[in-house]
Amino acid sequence: MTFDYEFHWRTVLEDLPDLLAGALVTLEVTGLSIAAGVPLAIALGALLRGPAATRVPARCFVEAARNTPCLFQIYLFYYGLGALGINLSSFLVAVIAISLNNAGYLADTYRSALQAVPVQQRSAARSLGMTFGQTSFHVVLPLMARIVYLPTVNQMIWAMLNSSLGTLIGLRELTGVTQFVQSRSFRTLEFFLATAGLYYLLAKALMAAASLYGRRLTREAR
Amino acid sequence: MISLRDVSKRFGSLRVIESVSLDVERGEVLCLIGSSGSGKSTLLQCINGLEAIDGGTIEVDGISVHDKRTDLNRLRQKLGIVFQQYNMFPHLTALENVALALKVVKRMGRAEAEAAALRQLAYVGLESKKDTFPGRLSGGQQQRVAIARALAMEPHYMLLDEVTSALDPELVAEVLQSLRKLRTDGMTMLIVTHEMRFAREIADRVAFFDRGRLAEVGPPSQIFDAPRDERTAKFVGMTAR
Amino acid sequence: MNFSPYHDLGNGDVLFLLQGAGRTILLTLFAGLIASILGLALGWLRFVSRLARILTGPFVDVLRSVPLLVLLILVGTFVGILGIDLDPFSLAIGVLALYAAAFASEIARAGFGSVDARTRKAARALGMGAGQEVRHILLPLAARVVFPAWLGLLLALVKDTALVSTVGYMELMKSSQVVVTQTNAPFVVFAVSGLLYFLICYPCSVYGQRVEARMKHDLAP
Repeated sequence: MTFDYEFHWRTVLEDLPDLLAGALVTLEVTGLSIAAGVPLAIALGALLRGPAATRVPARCFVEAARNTPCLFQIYLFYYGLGALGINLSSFLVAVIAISLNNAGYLADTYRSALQAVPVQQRSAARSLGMTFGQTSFHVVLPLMARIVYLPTVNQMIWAMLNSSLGTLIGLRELTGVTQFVQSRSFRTLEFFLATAGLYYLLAKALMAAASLYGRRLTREAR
Repeated sequence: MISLRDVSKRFGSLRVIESVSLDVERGEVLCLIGSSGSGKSTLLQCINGLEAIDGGTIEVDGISVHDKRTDLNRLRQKLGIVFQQYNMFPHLTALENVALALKVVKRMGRAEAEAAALRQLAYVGLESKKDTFPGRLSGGQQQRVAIARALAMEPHYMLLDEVTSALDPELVAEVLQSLRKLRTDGMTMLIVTHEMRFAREIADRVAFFDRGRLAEVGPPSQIFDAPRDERTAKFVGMTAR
Repeated sequence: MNFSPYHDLGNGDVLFLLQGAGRTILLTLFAGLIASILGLALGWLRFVSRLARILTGPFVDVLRSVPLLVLLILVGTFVGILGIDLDPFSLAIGVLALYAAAFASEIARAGFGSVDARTRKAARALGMGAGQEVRHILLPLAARVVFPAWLGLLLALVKDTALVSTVGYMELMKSSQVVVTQTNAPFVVFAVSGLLYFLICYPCSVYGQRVEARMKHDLAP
């Protein structure tokens, strides 16, 4: 067993713009699936705190999302909707499936966050004459944000990693683009090493961006 | 005999113990008093080798504790230690807490170890709690199990490190009662304590520590009623209200 | 639109999916076992040695920031270049175990770190040797604390095995795809395979939550 492989990085460099375009799609799927997943998770959290009529269906959804593979969920939407004659683009399917996955994983976090905001603070705000909407927006949500911050950032990283599954339904995100361009030169190792590096950078960039926001969240606590 | 010669210990640049010399005879009860952070607890942990020392020697029955050739695990069986925070093994029942070291260190059979452990629990009056986990025992009860755990190894010496300072006031008495019983049975004890009245009652000699130095050693009557050292007088005066 | 092919899913197809589920479980157990042993060793090193923490830090960090799919392709390609002929099962187990070991090592390290140093000192004070202390005090206490997290890791592993379908191993996901193409009844097939995944994961997940809730009660110092 010898390793006399000769690395050719030039072709990777030449195709770098393609890879970066793929990375952009990865970021789009990640961002959209979190942007849609978080409100869904808040709604699920509220339903989970409600009477059995809302709690039971919400719980069923959450457990189904958490106890089946994300790839399974993506296939379900892609082939399932296809069989119903609804042909969505792979981009849309990936965004929908990963959003629902995010919502399922975050629902219980948001449920306990909703629980954690004390009634007194709510009534304090209402007693100042703030409306329900104003109370929610200015008092409840900022307080919740601190509790859900870390789990949400973690889920965002998972969403980014999960977006690579889009490849398997033909999405040209980072992994998909890599798969495609490497097939022209068959420098598979170089291309996927570069892609792994790009994923690593994306993860770090997302965390850095999140921590900029997180620092603002915790400024009173420090 | 426990014999300390010129013992010094530093944490970084902080000198916790400075050239302390002290002998504890078999059968003697010696109380170490002094304000918090004066190095008393560290000294106890140095005596059974849980902490290294930076100078001097500590000998237990003629065996040097910090000599590399010394079998510390063997030596520690002679030196029972009880900590301020009880340090129970939370995953084991009271009986198992006491029996574990008998099984794995003394290599006793299960039945023999449990019988010995039960005797020690009875000694501290906790036979009925043998199957209870530490989480469901009061602080005082945990501390008594800790005493039983140390006693089970049949140590020649008992080192007691502020064993009542983490306890609620109403639980202190039951632990002190166990120590009185030990004294009656002739156990050699080195007790770090803040309970001045108890120290006066139980000690043969009292040693006063001030900022890592041994300021004065003498019988309780001397330390508490006629201290010779100015620092002792000040400390005793303050703590006696 | 085709709503009628329900009867097309015969007993043979269901049996095929069940076999796939069996292989999914087998993959999880094998990879989980290797990952646990590797993770325990790595977590121990990272717990006791600063140097090991610094040296292995990037390994853990990178493995957790790269998609498993990319990792599968990379390792597969690399093994191919080395000229080693690995069957899909071995390749899958290798990659899954490596991936899960990165997470397991962090779980193990957190577990060791959760054990109160004073409790460990008490054990040494009774004359226990370092090995005895680790075996009778550190490991059992750490194991209790990390059990729910470790179970969570196994659950994640069950779901991760779905990716192994891409290297051609006939686990539950791949079996479902095969049956879908044969019967052209994606809804029914996915309902069955989804249910199978659920039946594998859900009991473990409920059990883990119970243990965690009970521990919050019991292990309070």
